[in-house]
Amino acid sequence: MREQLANALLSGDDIATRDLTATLLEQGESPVGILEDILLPTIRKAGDLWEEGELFIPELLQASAALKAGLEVIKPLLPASSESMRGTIIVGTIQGDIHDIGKTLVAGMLESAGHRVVDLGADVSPQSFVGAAQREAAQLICISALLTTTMLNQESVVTERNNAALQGRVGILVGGAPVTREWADRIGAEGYAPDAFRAVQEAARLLAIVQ
Amino acid sequence: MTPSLRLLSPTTVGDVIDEAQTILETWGVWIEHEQARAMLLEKGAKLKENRVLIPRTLVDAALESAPSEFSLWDVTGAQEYVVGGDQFRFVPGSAALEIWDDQKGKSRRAITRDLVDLARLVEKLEYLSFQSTSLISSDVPEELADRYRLYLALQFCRKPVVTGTFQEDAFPCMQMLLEIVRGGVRELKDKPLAIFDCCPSAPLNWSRLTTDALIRSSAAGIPAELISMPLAGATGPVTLLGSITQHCAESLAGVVIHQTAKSGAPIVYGGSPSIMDMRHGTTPMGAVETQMIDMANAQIGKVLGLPTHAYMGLSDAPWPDYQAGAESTMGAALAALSGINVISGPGMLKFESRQSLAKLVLDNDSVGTVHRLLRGIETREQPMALDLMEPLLSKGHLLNSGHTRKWFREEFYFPGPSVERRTDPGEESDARGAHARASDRVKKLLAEPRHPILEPRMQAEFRKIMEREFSRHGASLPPIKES
Repeated sequence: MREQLANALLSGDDIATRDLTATLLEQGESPVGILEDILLPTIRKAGDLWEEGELFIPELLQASAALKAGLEVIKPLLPASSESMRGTIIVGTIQGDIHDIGKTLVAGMLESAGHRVVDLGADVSPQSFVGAAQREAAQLICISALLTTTMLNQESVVTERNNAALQGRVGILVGGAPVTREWADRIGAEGYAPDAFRAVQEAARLLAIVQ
Repeated sequence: MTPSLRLLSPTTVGDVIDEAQTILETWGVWIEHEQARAMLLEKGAKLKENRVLIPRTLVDAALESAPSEFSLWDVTGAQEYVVGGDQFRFVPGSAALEIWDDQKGKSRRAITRDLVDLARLVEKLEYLSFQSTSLISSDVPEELADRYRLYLALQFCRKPVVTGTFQEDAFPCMQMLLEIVRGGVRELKDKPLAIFDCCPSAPLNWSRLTTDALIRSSAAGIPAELISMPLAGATGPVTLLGSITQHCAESLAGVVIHQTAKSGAPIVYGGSPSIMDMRHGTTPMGAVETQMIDMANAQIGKVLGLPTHAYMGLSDAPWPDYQAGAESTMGAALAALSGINVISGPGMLKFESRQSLAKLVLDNDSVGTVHRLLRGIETREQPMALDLMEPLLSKGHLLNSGHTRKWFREEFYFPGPSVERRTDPGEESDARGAHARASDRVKKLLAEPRHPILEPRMQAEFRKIMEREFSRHGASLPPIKES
């Protein structure tokens, strides 16, 4: 049954992942055990398979969707202290920008790496980013922008974060077509990634600093 | 719908074939091989000042009896490859004296280890259907180099092999090697394992060596491949159509010799023509005009009802650089679009004189792209997009939808080291480029464990035959070395 659950997750079968998680719970498996021994190692394996070129983005994202389905079953049963996900990350496209495919890709890749991701969608205000980080006890905010005009608003999130005295506790990672390392440095964002794949590496680096 | 490309109108094709037959009737060909000459004269050809004039009736009869397709089988005899129709098979270009050495960053003469490495690499490159005796080893006597290539190729790669002789006495030895693999004379005829290239010398000459190989291959049931190569502007007319017509005449003479020797034996209408570079005096295989000649030749071959071949998908660049990629990829695409059955080219550089293992890997990628192109645009679902509008518009994307996951691996081709698609691959990758990535891939593939292809009994027989050949020429068979 445990192997079946791992296979369901790896193949992106969200319904089977949800049902098998529920069945394992009924059979007496602990929620923490299911999470730490099956779900998280399997989603990390999916990430490894993607890096090796065995899995592709659609399959990786679907594995993330299956993980979500399984998590929904066990989350209410997990004790608050047993949070085993690597980090909690807020993801969104900056205010004024409705392009969200890049952001969706980043969210999926971060989930595949075993992080808890809160996706705020597109056209997200600086206040919403910071409010969500406080509410979810997140360690990282990832802000996407596709346009040079909307990119400027990324700086407002840094300001809002600093005003909320979260600097050092909540990191900011920026990305998107017009965004560069120089821009990230200029606005005081701690992280920059040129694409969704590098965002996962950069997120890991920042989480090690802020945690 | 399979994409295709044809350069000549049906009327022009008819004119070329008609004029080629007139050339054979009025000017004929010089045939050095006495037996072949006598055989044609007996069938109605005429001798005029040492040239054999071939009547249309003989040409028509030969075309009538030559099969429009045949099959090759791999070393194991399990995998069949049909050669004919519009099916295209890529083969490493042959035969090079030099190899580009990635470690030294320069070219050098090929040695035994290079031949073994090349065969092992071709075994692993999925878009190369056949192997060829692509390199000439400089560490064995020249007079034994032809059979020595086949001796190594058959031990290190399962794929059918395109080969040829440099010496008249090589054919029996090479035939024996093939028969050992297949298990007998009859078995080799039933399941041919090799194609033998036979090269007339432009203009309109058939040497003893190449005629002998043509006759022997027809008797052995080994498919022959005609490699006529007029040099447009030098040993052939400078006009593309003129050169194409001469190629047709030279090739038709080959078909007549071959079919007269053995009616119904398989033969390929191929070639290695080129234009003459009028600045440098070279023979550019990657020139667009050369490729146009090749495409037209194949179109004529198809109308004649024969399987076709060309040297395309190769380059004249000295190493795998921009020119190499551009010429090779364009040639590969044009050849496949022309429906050429056997396409000799991958790995080849510098006017068919230099092979590169890294380029073989890069060309394998290009051929993969060409395979994708030739599959065309298929109808996968009906309706094509309508039913996807609801999930697309509600979620904003279809990235991980069932539709995407069902089809993306079939709809998209995923190239290997020849292509960089990351937006920011990093300084190291930027600086090293495709050639270095391919070179890494070569090392990785050759480091993988290898399982013997031939049974120990066959290997022992191979060795015995080759020791005898070497001894006959006062030489010793060298030990096999591989990377």
